[in-house]
Amino acid sequence: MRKRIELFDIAVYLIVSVICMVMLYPLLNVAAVSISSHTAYMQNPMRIWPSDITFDAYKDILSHPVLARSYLNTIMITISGVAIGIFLYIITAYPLSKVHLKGRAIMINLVIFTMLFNGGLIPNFYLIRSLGMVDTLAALVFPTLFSAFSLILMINFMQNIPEELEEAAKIDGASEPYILFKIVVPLSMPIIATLTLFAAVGYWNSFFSAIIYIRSVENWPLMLFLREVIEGAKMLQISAGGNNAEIGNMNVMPETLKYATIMIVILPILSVYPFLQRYFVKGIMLGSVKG
Amino acid sequence: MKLKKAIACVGAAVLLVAVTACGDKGGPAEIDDPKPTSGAAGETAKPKVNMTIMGEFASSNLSETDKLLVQSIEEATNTAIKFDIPPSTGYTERLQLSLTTGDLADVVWFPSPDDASFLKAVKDGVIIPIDEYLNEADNIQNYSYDISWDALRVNGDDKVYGIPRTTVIRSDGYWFRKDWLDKLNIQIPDNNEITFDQMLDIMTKFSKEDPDGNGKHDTYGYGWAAQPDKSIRPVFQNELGLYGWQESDGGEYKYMNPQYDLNSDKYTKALELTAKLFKEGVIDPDGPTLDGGKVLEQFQSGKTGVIDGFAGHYETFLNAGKQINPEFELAYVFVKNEQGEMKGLGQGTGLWGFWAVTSSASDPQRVVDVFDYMLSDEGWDSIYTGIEGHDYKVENNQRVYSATPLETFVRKNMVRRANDFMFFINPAMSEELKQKLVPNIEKAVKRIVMSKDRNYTPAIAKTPPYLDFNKKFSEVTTKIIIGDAQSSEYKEVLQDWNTKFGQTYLKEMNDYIDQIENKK
Repeated sequence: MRKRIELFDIAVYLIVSVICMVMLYPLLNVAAVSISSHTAYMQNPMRIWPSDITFDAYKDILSHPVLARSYLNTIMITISGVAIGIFLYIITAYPLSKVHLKGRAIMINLVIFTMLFNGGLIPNFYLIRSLGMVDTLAALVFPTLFSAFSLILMINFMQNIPEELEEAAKIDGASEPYILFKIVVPLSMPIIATLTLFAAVGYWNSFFSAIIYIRSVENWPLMLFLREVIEGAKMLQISAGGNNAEIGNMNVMPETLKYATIMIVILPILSVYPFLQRYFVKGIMLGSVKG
Repeated sequence: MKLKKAIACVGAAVLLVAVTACGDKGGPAEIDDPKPTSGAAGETAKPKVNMTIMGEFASSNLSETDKLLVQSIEEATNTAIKFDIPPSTGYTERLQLSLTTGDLADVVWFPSPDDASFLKAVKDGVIIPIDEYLNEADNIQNYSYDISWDALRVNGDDKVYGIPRTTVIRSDGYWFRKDWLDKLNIQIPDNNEITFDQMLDIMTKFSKEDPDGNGKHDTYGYGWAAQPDKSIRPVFQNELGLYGWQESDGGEYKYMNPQYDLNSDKYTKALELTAKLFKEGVIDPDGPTLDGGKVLEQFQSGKTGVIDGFAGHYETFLNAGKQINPEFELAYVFVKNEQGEMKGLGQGTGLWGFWAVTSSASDPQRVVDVFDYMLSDEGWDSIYTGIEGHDYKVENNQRVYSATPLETFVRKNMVRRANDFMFFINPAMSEELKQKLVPNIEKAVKRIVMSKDRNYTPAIAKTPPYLDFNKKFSEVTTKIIIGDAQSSEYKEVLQDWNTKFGQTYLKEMNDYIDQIENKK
């Protein structure tokens, strides 16, 4: 039987289409301007269709000495942060998922405590400085390596794995590490995928810790570079107040170059996100309801 | 096998972090290995001093000309200078962190003597007074404005807490689209000065008579922007005689700013005019949402025909405009006030930020000496013209400059000489062009009427209730300009302000100005 299209359906489609357009417009605008000439941009900055197509902006920004280095830094930070973080989540969540573990409640409360209270910026800076990590990529990896929220998600997920599987393995003579890595980890792939995505996006987008801990341009992550490209000149203009002479003395990057930088920076996440976004939704639901 | 692979992967990641953690920390901004000294007499006898300068510049990397300049300063002053240049988007955070944690450079840049973190650092002894070190710093003394020193005496102890990064105090004129003027057969006098009525007439023609000839009504007379705090202010204050704090013509207070004067209509007239121009589409209707950069874009792309600007930017603006429209031409024009006088408001204290010596400085005298050297004839020549062999060559006893150096991030932004407006003129510029531009800059310097407040903020204006109330001024100003309120509503807010805060504010400001004026 053919389903009747109701007025409500049309309204839903219309609203969703409008919301989609609102979301897509900035992206299309950035993409179109990034491959348009500067003159074309000046004639119509709000364009969503390129005009006078040129890839000069990409050529210029790709030859920027800081871009390649910051790209590499972000890749290194993301890979190492995600790998170490996931490993730590696994080895921490597994014992804490055992209800019979002595001291489990205290440990979990200590973890929850860090969700509510933390030392703050200054003590963290002292800590990182004492560890000799200032101006190293390690300062961008370790402070955000472990999230209490993610750990609780993983604990909850592991608690749902049937105890009988582990008992059967034990009867067959499996050791705890064997059970963890051969049975529990393969069964925990959905939560591992979700937390990997959370952590990867977090590392990819982070810039503030770099402002605080990094001194040399060689160690800038990609997002700090992007922020400088987009907002740097504006900040200097604010510093200059209304002084026209000093404002004109600044190195203002053409908009097409800024837009090309945005495209280059978001491209990797944009490419993988459609395939992984379901894990985001799943991640929030995982372990939240126990039945 | 999979377990081994997983452990191997994590191991590799740890190794990766370890390698990066122990990696080379050296940045190109550092000049750690200066050449042996052979600098100015007297300096070589002093032991070598290391110092770190933390500042906000357009690039965190030193350019080639920056490096050469720093090298020349190091040689002349027997120092090893390292730059710490945080990203400009995070300068404030880094500065505050440094002041709080004591992780300080020898000298740090602050945007203004009013900066709360600076004032706290002075109180805490993190920033030290430099009076005793200035005794031998003749160049700094000679090439700073007197009013800058007053601004840097912030602790009530009559001591100076910073080295000025001077700017040239001016009141700039306007850039006009000359090709539009030509199309509309409008002549500008040879002295580049027009009356305010002529200005209004030209702007109206630019917005109504299709100066770009595209057959569309898509141009505006004047391009303007919101303030950095997103508020908007009436336009053409110079021309309407609004020169900030001046001696009043009578009344309760000796000094008064028409903006706060219940008995003056000057400010409300300015609001009315801006509202009228806004309504008629003579000024860019997008102005309230734009910043300075966007205003320039609107001008270069042919949406607006007039913007205010610095005369020394002729080449930059012209080239950018011509890329979009080959017919783009520029004229620089001054507009007389309603009384026919060539006057313009000179604001501030001659500071474009300043350098503060910290308690961590190993040798504060040498820090001051470095800045003094930069302002000496030898140092200034390097700052202005660059370094021989890179920025220019000497042929037949004449300097032949290389192509316009664009990357003078540090070189041209460390110090300035008061009133030396030639600094803004590219040394490679042709004599003909110099003759064209210099008189305009000179005029912008000479026509200033200084506001007597010197950027002073009375204590009451820093209190939360005052700051809350201040939003009412922004609100009513915006409403009047965009036509949602009558200009009389400004006076109502002003009356309210006067009752709640005004008397204290005006008294404090008058006391301050009196004290400064009596010092003269």
